[in-house]
Amino acid sequence: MNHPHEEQLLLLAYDELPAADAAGLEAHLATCAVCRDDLARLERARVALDWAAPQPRRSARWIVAALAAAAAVAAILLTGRPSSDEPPSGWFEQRPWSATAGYIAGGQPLIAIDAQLTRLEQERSYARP
Amino acid sequence: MPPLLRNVAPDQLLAEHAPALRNFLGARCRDADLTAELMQELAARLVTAAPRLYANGNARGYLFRIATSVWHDHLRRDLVRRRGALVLARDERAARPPAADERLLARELHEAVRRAVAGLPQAQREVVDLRHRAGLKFREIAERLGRPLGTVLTQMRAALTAIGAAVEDYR
Repeated sequence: MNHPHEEQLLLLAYDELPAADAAGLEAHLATCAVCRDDLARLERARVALDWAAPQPRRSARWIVAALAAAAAVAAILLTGRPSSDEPPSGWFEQRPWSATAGYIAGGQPLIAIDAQLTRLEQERSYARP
Repeated sequence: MPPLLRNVAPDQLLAEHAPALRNFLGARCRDADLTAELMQELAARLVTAAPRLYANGNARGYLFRIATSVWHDHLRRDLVRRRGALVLARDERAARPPAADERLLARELHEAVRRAVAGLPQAQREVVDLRHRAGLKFREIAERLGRPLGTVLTQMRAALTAIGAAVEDYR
């Protein structure tokens, strides 16, 4: 029995194999326990990674990016230097999420940034003659 | 935007592709009862998803995406169950009362994956990052990193083997 190249199983596990190749590989899988086990291992690891690093939906990426950028700019404006709460260098750290504050960049809730901005605004207006 | 598939009932669509979907799921789980269970879940999701079905000439592809999602959800539940079995065995050995609930197990699993990823060689970690966090295709990753596609795939496979070993640890 000719087993598929292991790269093909990887591409199948990630839905990146062209449809025609995938159909042939599916037919092989129906009769080959070795390749099924191999695919199952790859898929379990993929699912575990997907789970540990939830991928933002492509359509919502710009929203996340915009929020993160806004938070970073706000942090720099407020502190005069880049935030010391750098995003974790470790992999797949869980980012806190607040239903009210939305996505949080660098671990600092947007709602807290907003509160600081409001306070600064008030201080500025009090300082005016 | 393509027009909605208003005239195609979900059960009709499912009936048309059921044999192929059953083969797809059956080839992965090799369990007739589980395959039937997953097919039921797929049917339930299809009913929910029906309003989003588009006549883009690839209803079959859409169905298989749902099937893949159903299968991945099953794998995810399976990972947590296995974690539960490990923790239970560990607690029994230590004569402790079993304390792990599903949420805790999920968190421990998350942590195990995170540690495994952190321990990968940098070249592999870059590939995992671009695939799982940036959502790039392997071909795009190869272009971005200036590596041959085959190298990227080999690195990803090695990374998955390491992650898999960390995940399988708690069997």
